[in-house]
Amino acid sequence: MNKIKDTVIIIPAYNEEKVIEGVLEDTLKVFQYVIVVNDGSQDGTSTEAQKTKAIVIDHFMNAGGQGGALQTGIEYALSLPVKYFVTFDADGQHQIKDVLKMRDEIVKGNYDIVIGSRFLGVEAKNMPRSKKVLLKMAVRFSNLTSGLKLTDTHNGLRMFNREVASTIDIEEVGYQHASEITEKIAKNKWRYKEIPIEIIYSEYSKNKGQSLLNAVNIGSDILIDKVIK
Amino acid sequence: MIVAQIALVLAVVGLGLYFLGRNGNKQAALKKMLIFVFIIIAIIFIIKPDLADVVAHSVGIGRGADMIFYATTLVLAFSLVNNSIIRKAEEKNQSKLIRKVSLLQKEIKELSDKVSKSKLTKKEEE
Repeated sequence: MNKIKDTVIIIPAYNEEKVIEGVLEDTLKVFQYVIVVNDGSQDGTSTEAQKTKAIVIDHFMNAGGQGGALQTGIEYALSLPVKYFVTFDADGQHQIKDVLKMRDEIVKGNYDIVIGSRFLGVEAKNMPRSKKVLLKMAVRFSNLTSGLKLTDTHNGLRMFNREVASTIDIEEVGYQHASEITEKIAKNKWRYKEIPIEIIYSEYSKNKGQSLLNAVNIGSDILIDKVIK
Repeated sequence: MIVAQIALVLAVVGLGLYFLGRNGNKQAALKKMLIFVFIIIAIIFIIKPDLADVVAHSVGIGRGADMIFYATTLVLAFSLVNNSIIRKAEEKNQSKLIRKVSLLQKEIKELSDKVSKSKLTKKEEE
């Protein structure tokens, strides 16, 4: 099968040795360029990733979280001959078929950024109820502060073009980066579209996901940023 | 009472000198001015505690001790927020540094792999 060469998949990873090889092999079946940024993992994430043909970038120590690792991946990816950049989770929650749907959408609609949503019809499989409630609250809060009308503001599956990749400059190092991206969509007036995607919550990924308490950190950080700006 | 007053004055002056001793920019100069004012007010209230009551009454607070408590709480809250902001900024800078070094390391590794590969190819050709 001819691999897709105009799109790069960027996967930030932290302590994902159990699943990373599988996730990378699956994406490499379809995409020529797959970058995994190992954010100072304490397990064998890097070793497992290097068993594949993915481009592995190792942070020599933890850079603070997913946001930091994503920006590293994006900066490296800009040196590749690609048009589209995809942020993809390392824990197996995201589906390749959704990336392909996003690619069709971004090309057809000439969007700057296409974002996946768990709340546009396709129900997330096994999403814990508390997480659903929290996410919906986060969406309301995020839409209030950004002025956008999104249905899922904390989805890790996104695809964007080179213009977005070269200017996005993610500064928030942890999970707060999702809110930062939303703010930047609004500030830069990027043409955006949300499409329904399927997320599979396995026992493994549920344990790795955001804790409810961390939502307090994210919310307070957004407020502080608004105050000091 | 006088021993406690001397101890408090020394503690306030000591702390104040510690913070005033650091160099800095415009913001630091403003902070130093505030610390200097704080030292003066603290020394006055330590030596003349009745004055605290007078000031408190004039601003509608019952007791001098309560006024000092409120002021301390505000200063503490400000300090906590300020430290949080500084910590966040340091975190971002650290992340940028880690990224820069990691990307450089990757570049060096790729160049090194290229050189090794071309050496191997040359050897095979020979």
